[in-house]
Amino acid sequence: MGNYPVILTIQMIRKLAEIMKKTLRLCVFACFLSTTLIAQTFSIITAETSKHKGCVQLANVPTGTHSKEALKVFLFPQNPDNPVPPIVGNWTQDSTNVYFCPLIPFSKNLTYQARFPKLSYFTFKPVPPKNYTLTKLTHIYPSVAQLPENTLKMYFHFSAPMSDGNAYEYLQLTAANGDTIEAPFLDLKPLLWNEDRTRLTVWFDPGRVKRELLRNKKLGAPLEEGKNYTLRISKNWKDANGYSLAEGHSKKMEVIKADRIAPVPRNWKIMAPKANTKEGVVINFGEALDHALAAKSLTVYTKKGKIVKGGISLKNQERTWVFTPFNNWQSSPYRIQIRANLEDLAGNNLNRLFDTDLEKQPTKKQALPYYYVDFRVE
Amino acid sequence: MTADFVVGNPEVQSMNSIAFGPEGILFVGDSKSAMVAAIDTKDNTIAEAPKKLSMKKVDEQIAALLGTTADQVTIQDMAVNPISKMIYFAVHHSNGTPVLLKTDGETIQHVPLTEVSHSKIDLTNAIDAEKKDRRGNSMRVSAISDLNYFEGKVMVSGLSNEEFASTFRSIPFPFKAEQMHSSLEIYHAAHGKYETHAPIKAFLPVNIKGEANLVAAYTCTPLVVFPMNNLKPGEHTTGQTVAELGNWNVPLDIIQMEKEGKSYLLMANSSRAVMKISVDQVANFNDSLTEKVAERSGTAGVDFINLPFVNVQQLAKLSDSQFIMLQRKGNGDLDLLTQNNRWL
Repeated sequence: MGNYPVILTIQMIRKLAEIMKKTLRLCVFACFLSTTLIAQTFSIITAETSKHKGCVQLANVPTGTHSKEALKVFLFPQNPDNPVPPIVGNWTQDSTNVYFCPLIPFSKNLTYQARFPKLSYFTFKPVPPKNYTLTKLTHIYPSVAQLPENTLKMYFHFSAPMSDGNAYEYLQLTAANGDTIEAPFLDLKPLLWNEDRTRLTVWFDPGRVKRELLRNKKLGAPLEEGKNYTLRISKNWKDANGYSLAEGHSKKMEVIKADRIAPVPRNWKIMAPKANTKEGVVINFGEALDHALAAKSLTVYTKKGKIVKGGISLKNQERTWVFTPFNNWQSSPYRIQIRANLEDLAGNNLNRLFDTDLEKQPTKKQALPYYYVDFRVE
Repeated sequence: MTADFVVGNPEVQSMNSIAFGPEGILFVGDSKSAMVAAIDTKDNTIAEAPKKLSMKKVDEQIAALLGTTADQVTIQDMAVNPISKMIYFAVHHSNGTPVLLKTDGETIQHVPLTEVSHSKIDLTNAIDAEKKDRRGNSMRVSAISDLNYFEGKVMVSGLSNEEFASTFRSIPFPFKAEQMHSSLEIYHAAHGKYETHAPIKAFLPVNIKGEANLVAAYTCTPLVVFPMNNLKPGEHTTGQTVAELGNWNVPLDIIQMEKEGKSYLLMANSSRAVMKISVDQVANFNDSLTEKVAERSGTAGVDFINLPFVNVQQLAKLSDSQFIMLQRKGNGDLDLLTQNNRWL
């Protein structure tokens, strides 16, 4: 990340002339060669395969003359009234070279200067690679255009790791009349990225979605039933290497009635495959469910309780789940286990509603960890 | 405390929350690796807190040290070593690299973690959580929202990036190999009517009337109190909502300060001033919030006082009489400043 080829501005070494003058007394030709060979030169390692890629190298450092930590790199230019400390990094040394590897890769927008005692400075500016593939926003979930008023979250998927900085400034929700909706999303830190920062989870402000909380009463839900909105995702959102996205996006949303009904597996429609085929078993949920949870909450078991291995896909805008086995189906009953934490778009899961009205539902049904639906292959 | 520690690189991949325990041990909550690392900072020299401290443009100073610009760094958390009074920052670069820094109020230094005495605990090793789902997919990532050390336990609150749920773990320290610990689901009631379980953003263990309690600030602003004895694995626990703290607001940080035998909570918020709440009032608040509670400026519940500090991103107790705050000033500068208990 952040390692780029650089334009090298290798300056002449002040010391060189001095050394040559001394050595000329002994011989002219041979010693010129030897001083050339031992010339101390700065460079930036750009080779992809080098373990020092992105590091500053100082070649041919005479052993014992300086500690390797004497090689220092600074932001350039410095304000003489307010000098900044050297950049944090790690030093390593091999037979004749010293390497300084910054903790944070050198940035393409900045200029740096490497210094080593009694040597000229080396000023460099990393240059972005020529063929950088810009990161794309690949999917937005829910992908359905009609969203319940109490929609709880959205997922943004990217083709490459994104920056860890602010995200909300790149998301703008506008009503059909052009009004910008103020702070529709919860300004949450840490941002809810997946492990490699290719998927961001964003919550609609739950204080406004939840009934009876003051924020809901004062401001209402961020989305209002019967209205249309556009969510714009700015091209200026940066990826992990500091580049803007390939293009901006927009998603149109039509807001429908709030969903205050928990998903009920026994109401799902299951289409069983035929025996001795690798056809998919298809479940129609009858509503769009949460993309991330729907993709991982269902597991298919054989009659003997063994997991059936296969691939899962979500179709029809997360309303349909398809499981395609790696091996042929047998003529037999099968069971699908569903984790209870599977949520619909409004955060209602199999055990509970997102916000439960205790006056209307004083008795709680027993919370189960799993639910089951069965199908038969013939 | 450090008998089981090993020397090496704890391989911290993110630093979402940091807190000091005893003997200069720093706990680092690492969401990406789903672990807490206990690091022996060896920063054990007793020192007085600086009387007054004012560091300007802390984010720019950190950026210069890392060879980048201030917009590329975020200060995830701040903690004070109660022994040395050194102030530690957990910082992330925009490319995701975590960096630990410390300052005495004058200069900022890098704290390398390549060769440190440490101990780690895996947060996926919970009694009631599946390590992997049935198909072997890795479990949902839980972002650590807050971490505190209290009476021999490291407490960690987590946000899921998939479910709208809260996890809360209480892990005995020193950590033991293969130690199991519980993940608790805790609920709160809004206006005594709608029950929800929402993610905890910030929390603080507080002794109330001699009993250990957890004061938790939720993402949707209710401030909720739970007696710690009631928090048992696998049991449904509902806390008492003692306040709702206003519109468009995300609680950021809570600390406890004392003055003249009285105890106060100070809470930093994303879009409100630092709030002061009397622990006595929390202790004596016996009503659950109802519709009838008078609303003041979109808030309800126990009284609180807005201190004249806005845009405070981090709070930490510096000494018995001082706290420090990281504050975004009107001119855009992010400054580190001390305040004393005259505000209490």
